Amino acid sequence: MNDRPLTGRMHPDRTPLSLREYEQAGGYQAVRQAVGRIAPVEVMNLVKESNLRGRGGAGFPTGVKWSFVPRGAQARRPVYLIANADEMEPGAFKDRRLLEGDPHQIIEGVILASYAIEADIAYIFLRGEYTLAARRVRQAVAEAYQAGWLGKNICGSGWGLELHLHTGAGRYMCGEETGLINSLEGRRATPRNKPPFPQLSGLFGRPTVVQNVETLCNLPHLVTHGAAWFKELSRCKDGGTKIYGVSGKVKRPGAWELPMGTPIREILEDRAGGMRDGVHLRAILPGGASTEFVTVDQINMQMDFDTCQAAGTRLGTGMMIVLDDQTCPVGMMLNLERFFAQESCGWCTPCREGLPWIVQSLAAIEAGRGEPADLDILEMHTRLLGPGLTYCALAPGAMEPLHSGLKIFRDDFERHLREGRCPWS
Amino acid sequence: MGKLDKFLLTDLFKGLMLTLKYAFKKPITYQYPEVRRPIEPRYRGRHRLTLHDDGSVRCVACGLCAAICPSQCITIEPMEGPGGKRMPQVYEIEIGRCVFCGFCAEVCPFDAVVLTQEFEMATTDKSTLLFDQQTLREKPRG
Amino acid sequence: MPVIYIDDQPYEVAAHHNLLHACLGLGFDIPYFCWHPALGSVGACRQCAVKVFRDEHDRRGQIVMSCMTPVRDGLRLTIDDPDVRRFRATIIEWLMVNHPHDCPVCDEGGHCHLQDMTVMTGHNYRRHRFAKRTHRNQDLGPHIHHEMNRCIQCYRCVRFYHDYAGGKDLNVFGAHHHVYFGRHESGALESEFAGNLVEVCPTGVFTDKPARRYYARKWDLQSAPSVCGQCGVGCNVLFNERYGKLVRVDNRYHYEINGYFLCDRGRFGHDFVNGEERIRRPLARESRGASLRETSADDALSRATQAVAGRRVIGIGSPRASLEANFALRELVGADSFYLGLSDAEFKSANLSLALLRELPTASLHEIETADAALVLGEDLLTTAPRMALALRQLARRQPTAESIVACPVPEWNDQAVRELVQQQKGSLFSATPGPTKLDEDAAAVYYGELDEIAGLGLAVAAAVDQPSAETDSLATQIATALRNAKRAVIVSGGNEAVMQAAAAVVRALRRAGRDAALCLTQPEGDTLGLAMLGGRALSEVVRDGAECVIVLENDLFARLPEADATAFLERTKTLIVLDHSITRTTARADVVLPAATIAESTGTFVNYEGRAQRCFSAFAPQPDVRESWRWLDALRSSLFWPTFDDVCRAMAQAVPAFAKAPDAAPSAAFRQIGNKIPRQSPRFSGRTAITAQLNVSEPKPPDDPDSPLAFSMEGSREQPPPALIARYWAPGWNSVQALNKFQQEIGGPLRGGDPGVRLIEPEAKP
Repeated sequence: MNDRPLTGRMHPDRTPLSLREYEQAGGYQAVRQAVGRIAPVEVMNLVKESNLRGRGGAGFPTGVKWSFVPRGAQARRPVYLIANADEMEPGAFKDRRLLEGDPHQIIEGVILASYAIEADIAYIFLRGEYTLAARRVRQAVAEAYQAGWLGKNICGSGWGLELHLHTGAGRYMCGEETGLINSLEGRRATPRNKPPFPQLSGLFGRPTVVQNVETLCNLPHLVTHGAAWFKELSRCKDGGTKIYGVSGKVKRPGAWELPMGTPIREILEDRAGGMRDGVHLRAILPGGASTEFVTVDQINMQMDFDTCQAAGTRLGTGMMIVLDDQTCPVGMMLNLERFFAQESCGWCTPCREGLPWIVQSLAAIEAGRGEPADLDILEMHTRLLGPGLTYCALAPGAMEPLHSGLKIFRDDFERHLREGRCPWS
Repeated sequence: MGKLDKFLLTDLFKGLMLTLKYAFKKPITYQYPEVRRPIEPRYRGRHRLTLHDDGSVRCVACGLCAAICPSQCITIEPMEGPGGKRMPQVYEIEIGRCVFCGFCAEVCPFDAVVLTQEFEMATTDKSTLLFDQQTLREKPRG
Repeated sequence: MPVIYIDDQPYEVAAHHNLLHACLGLGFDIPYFCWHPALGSVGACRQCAVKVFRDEHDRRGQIVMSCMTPVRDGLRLTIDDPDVRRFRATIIEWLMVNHPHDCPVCDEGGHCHLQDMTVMTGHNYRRHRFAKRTHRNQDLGPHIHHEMNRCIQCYRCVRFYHDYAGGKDLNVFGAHHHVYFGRHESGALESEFAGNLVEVCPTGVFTDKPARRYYARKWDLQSAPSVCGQCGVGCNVLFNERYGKLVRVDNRYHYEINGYFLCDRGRFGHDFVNGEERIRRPLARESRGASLRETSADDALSRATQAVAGRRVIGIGSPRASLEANFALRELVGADSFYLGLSDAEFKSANLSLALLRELPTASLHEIETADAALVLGEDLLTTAPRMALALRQLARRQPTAESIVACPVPEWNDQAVRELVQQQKGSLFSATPGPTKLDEDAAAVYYGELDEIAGLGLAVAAAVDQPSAETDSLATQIATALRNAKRAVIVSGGNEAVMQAAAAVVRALRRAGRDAALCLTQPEGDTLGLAMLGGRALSEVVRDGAECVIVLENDLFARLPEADATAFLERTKTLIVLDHSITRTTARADVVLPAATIAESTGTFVNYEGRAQRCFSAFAPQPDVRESWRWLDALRSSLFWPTFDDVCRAMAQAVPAFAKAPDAAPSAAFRQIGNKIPRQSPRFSGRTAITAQLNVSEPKPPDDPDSPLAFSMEGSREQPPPALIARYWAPGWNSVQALNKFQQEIGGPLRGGDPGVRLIEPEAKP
């Protein structure tokens, strides 16, 4: 089996695999093997054993997450599984590849995850703008129903699954699992307080597991080939491969499936072809917009959950944004914070009022109207929009690039203040 | 005090000497009202309602001066003025009861009421001691 | 009970509370916005941050939101830590980024929770130097003024209006710092409980539009505890006066009755006190045919006395007058000549209510809220007793909660999580009415039918309770099963005799089955039940008999009798003496009209639907010629028997055994707190010496109040008064209504010293 299980069989011309092609390539083998033959708990244990960690950004061990779902007679029904395909993190485009290129793979992942947690109904919550993906997934779902992979009594096991595709209306908040659940229920996409965790009271107050698309896509391969094979794929202790991507002024921006734990340098230089001519690398947001900057001297860092955390940043989605020396870092941060301020749901005070203030301060600095006190204001926000102080993780995520940016680009900020204009403009 | 001093009435003569000294000095009495005593800059006298450039009162009738007033001599009835602006319909200070503490000016969020240096408010008719808005808008004499 | 350590001091607290609730209950001041004792916690404002420690050695601690943290044994926390103080001050700083600095012109100024909390956190200087965001306001109708720029996005308004009260037309729109609370377009708010937004909103977004006309600050208001007379529920209110005008009506917390919320009829329905229809001078006419002219009190009294002297006089009482006024009239004319002043239907319904309440236990609104099942028979409660409908809605919301949180343990105060678990489940609330009502959407099952059909359904339910059968297809068996399964059930009815009897039959059946069941019968007016307890003859009898001289007490006969009967009766009457506060068709035909004080200007006792006697006190002294009705009626007798309210109340208690406990409804006028009366005015009451200076520079003596332990003055006891005498909610640092926290035994619980009022009816059947 190849070392790129997720993307290896995709067509180079980016057309989707049909059901027949998918089945020929070994698709739905895992469902045939697992559903009705292995107990759901065994599937969960297999996932636990494989060290598969959630690919949505937080990196929570998938099997452990499932183990909180109540089972058996005391479980309140229905149990839900939701595939989080609301990919809105700035810089991220990995789920789109998976959904557009191989829609049956995600469906199979959903079936396996649903089986493991004994779910009755599954949703794919798809970002509204992904219209091509929506078309392809919708068709794939119809095909899967027809082929009996979905619906009642799958593989004669007596267990059935309803799968619905839901396209969102476009809020970053819907990518947060509880915000997504509220949105799916038809409410405002505000997050929920935890506890209770969605595994106990999620969609419509029933046990719910929300998983990222990439996480789910790993499941068919994991079930087919086993935990040991899965761990082998990786270059660190977390199992499997990871889709890494690079955007910014590099020669070949894109996304590639590589072993988990591939160093930044390899991704940046071997895959993305290095920086464009004439520009130099200054810093990298390793896991999308809501991660701390890493600097050029950290370029040999392995991209996995633990190493990134030890280096003071997060793996996040694994989709890097590269900052070069021709771009104003203040402007970049203003752009990012403007996005976060815009996407704040307006529920809790620090995020709702703090982020626009940050945007106003950054805009003033960028426009040359900044004051030294503005830097103190920004610094205060990076401290007080911390985890636990805000209602959900949006504002703390938004503070990560700002927090490290204020340190790394202190001189650039001060130049803006001193010169009364943006040196890059 | 020694017994001798007591016997010789030294203190008495000391006092008489002081009196005698002032008998030959220029008197410091002001011949009020012909001569007016200079007033200290922070002297607190009669109130005045300050005005905007267009002649309207700055007061928004928030009621803080009336609330803070220890002798409770301010009464305000607010109303909606032109353009939906809140302003006093009645603003009266019963100056006969005022203790000139200046709390009203201190508490005013718009510097709409200030204490001037005017102190000549003696009258033979107590009813004239009720200063209405018109009176309070006038510039003090002198 | 768990013990928590605040700054290393142990405190015992109730286990089922969150940390904020517990700390406030212990008397600590923690600022908060989105939390409300009746609405629970949602953790939106992040204002109530405290620092908790892992154990006694942990010195770093972690900042948590106290409203979202459950109490657990051994929890260690500090409220007063530099980090957490700074965080709380920064929350205010963030809120102030867009909050207009318009306190001096804001109607909320002086009783603004945001002001209090700002001072409490110590935030002073503004660092935000950019433009504020602004919103357009909406016209929300005649009662609520909307000023969206002041919004601090605590979400309390929608949580009350939408979730708690079931309103559909107010919601939150938009996102990020543009979230907007309002209607989808300008228009009058539709909920019967919209007025509560005024008190629920922590700042000046929703303010009382009628009160706005008077521009009065809270500290300038003279207020007194009173009771709403708009229906028979007897919600407790505060009447607030300035310059002789009733400015606003506020909720007065009563744990058993209205709790934190009033209906709009109670809050906005007292404008008649200032109305142009008010009768402020005695009126008399020379002869039949002559027109009514203003006259002096002495003249009016002597005319009335002459008319009464030596003739057969009949008195017609009123369900909107106080017990004392009705009693005074009964004493004047004699029990045989006292008619209740109710229409035939009201008369029958009131007497039947009394009989049933003497037989069966009833329930307060709080008991309704906490019951497990309820059946409404025949009443459109949002019309006849709106506050009771709100209580039933809480039953419908709460009851499935109890089941859900067993399945998935979530603290009951965690509002969003609980609502999430409950989803669309409805509690055991059943409604049978002649037509659709707004309560229907909260009911598990609804039945529409004629009143006799509803009575039939009631009897069928009673029969099904008696003989439970397995088949559950009929509505009656479904209801009976739910009622039987309930630990405590409430049957609500009123108005129609047959329906009330059917409701009573259900209660009897449930009690035979050993269930705890109560009967709640709505009453149309503030004192209907009290009038029935006083006893008197039906109005229809007098129409037959006619009388030479008739005294009508605060009543409009045209509203009680058929048009022809009323006209004929009044034509047969030689002398008609009417006591009322406003012009009616009856006063227009009177020979002598004596101006009566309204409920806001008088001291009296009212009996609510559950037989609870409650005292109302005058918020302000009536104008010189306006007197309380019992005073006029006492003056009509040859000599004054009752110089003060306590005299008439005591006399009534002696004369009518049913009212033996009525004087206990509130402390008597002799009550003193450390030798002082309770002031009706706040210590900050302004302009006392200047307010009448244009008339006389000498400050007038404040009016005496021989009738109550309250004084028309700012001077008096500064202590917290007994619950029946609370004239305002204020505590140091707490100028808004949230100061109520300091008046309760525990937050959201009964008032310190017990809730005011006294139940006069002891049912034979013990609950």
